Amino acid sequence: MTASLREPPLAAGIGLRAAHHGAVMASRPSVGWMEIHAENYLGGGAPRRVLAQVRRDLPVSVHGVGLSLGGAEGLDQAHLDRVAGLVAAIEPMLVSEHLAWSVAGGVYHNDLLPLPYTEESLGVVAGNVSRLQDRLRRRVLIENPSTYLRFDHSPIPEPAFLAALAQRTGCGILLDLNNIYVSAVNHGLDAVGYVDAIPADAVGELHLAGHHVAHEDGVTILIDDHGSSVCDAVWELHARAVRRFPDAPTLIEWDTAIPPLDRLVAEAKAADARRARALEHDDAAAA
Amino acid sequence: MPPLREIQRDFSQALLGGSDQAIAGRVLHDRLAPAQRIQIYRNHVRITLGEALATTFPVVARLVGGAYFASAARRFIEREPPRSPVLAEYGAAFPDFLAGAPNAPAYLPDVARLEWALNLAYHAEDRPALEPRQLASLPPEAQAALRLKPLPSTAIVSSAFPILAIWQANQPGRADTVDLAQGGQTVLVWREDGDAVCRALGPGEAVLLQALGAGRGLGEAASAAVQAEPGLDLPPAIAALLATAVFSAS
Amino acid sequence: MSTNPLKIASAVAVALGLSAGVVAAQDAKQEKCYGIVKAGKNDCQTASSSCAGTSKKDAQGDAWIYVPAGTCAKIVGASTAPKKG
Repeated sequence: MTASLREPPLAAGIGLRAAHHGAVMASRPSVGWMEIHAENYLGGGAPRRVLAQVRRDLPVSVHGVGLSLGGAEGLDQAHLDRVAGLVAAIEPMLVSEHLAWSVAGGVYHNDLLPLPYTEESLGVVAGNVSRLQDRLRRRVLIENPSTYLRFDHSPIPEPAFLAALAQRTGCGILLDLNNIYVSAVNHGLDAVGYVDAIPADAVGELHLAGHHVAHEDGVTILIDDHGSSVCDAVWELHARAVRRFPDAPTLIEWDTAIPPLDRLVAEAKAADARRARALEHDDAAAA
Repeated sequence: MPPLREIQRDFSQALLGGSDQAIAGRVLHDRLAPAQRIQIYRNHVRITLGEALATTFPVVARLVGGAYFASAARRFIEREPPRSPVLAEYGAAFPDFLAGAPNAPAYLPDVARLEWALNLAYHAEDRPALEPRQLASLPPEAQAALRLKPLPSTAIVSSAFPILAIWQANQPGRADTVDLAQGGQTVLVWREDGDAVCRALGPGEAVLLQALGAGRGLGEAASAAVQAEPGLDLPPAIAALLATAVFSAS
Repeated sequence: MSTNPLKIASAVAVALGLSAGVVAAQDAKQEKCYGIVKAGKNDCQTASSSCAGTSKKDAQGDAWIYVPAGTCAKIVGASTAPKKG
């Protein structure tokens, strides 16, 4: 079966940000779906009202940023319950979180912090992911992080760690192509090899975003600021990813210097056009 | 290899102003020194938590200026880091922290309390508000005993300083001068149509609401209000407060 | 108004009657201020300037900036002095 005969996945989506609450209330954005950060919608009032309308208009995905699934001290039950309450209330099409930790000693650091990829870490993350899936009674997707350092003892390559996590817990993978590229440049690793090492049946969503190019002591460091258009190298990874994971919908994230909604919608349309082209080339190559 | 818990404890210490030596010893030296790579995370934590505080306390930030605010925020973040991942709920202790900040004006903590109340009003969970119509049919003997519970989005902030005037003078596009000689203000904060709103309360209204908030019956609260402000015209004052969505339906 | 319980009771009764109808006008008379509260503080990106100063202390250093230099100059009157310092 060629990719073009498949049921097409949703058109690309965009992240819902508070800066666009007014615009999305005024008219439904012409995108396939929208994703929210769970932690921004755990209270009541205006944000929940906006979310309720968006949920009526479009498929919604809940993306957690604060569960600290890589935390050695386990999950915060109160926070887990609040996220579960939100998921129960809006019945999203997807739920996802990160391969990272953000809580230690009960303190929340507001960052997606890196893990050493060891058997011990795999046990910790798998335990937390299973607890999350049990609480939500559904499968979640786990996203690869962008990182700025590696530990000296980290014997498992990140894609192998994610594959093992998926196998052990039954979770899926949210593949962020910008994160792959950012980490690959920051650590001198192979981004294409990363995409190819991810098991094709595990990927349930793709993320795209822009990054900031910084230089430190003559070394290029990419900062994952979600503050610009997707760069060409990441588009190339995306083309490879849509051929390898044709059923996974794509999301555009933009969190810094957020442009008007129209610009984000245009970026999502660009992702749709590139996806279609990538699959055509795939068919041509197969013929 | 030390256990993950220890690695995360050492990393946390480096992020919150402590030494990065322990964690640096476990980080790969790859073109940049471990300390340089750790610093990227440390900067992120400081910058984004500082931005979260500046977003919740914009008037405080305006009053003291960016450099002083950043300096205060950094101290606060290290002393009272977030305990919950919900950043809209971070900063409850910031007003008290400001009370001990060097050279901070005396009114600053109360202005921060007003901003915190506005933040809570905006984000508080949804609960049905009291419909004043429901009360009109109450039998007379039940009226005075009526206990009204404020919504989670409702708060009263009392200060010896004119905090609402200071707050108003620091809204975008305003540059008025405020004379502290005008005296203190008690401010009611609530949520209306999804917006956080506030207004100054008269002395009688303030006592009335505070008594109701403390769980006293409407008759007793009304009596206390008249004692505090003998000239208060009770019926319209009570009716106006009931018409404002500040009480819970249950 | 006196604090006589009967008078209070009748004032309460009048208030509850009023609250069913006429209050909209009352409410409108009161000067409300709208607070601009910004939502959406949780993100999953890295701050753009996180890289700045990776090899040195950040520009501001570790010291307190001791003197507020914002609009507090516009707040005048007898008791502007800090309580403690």
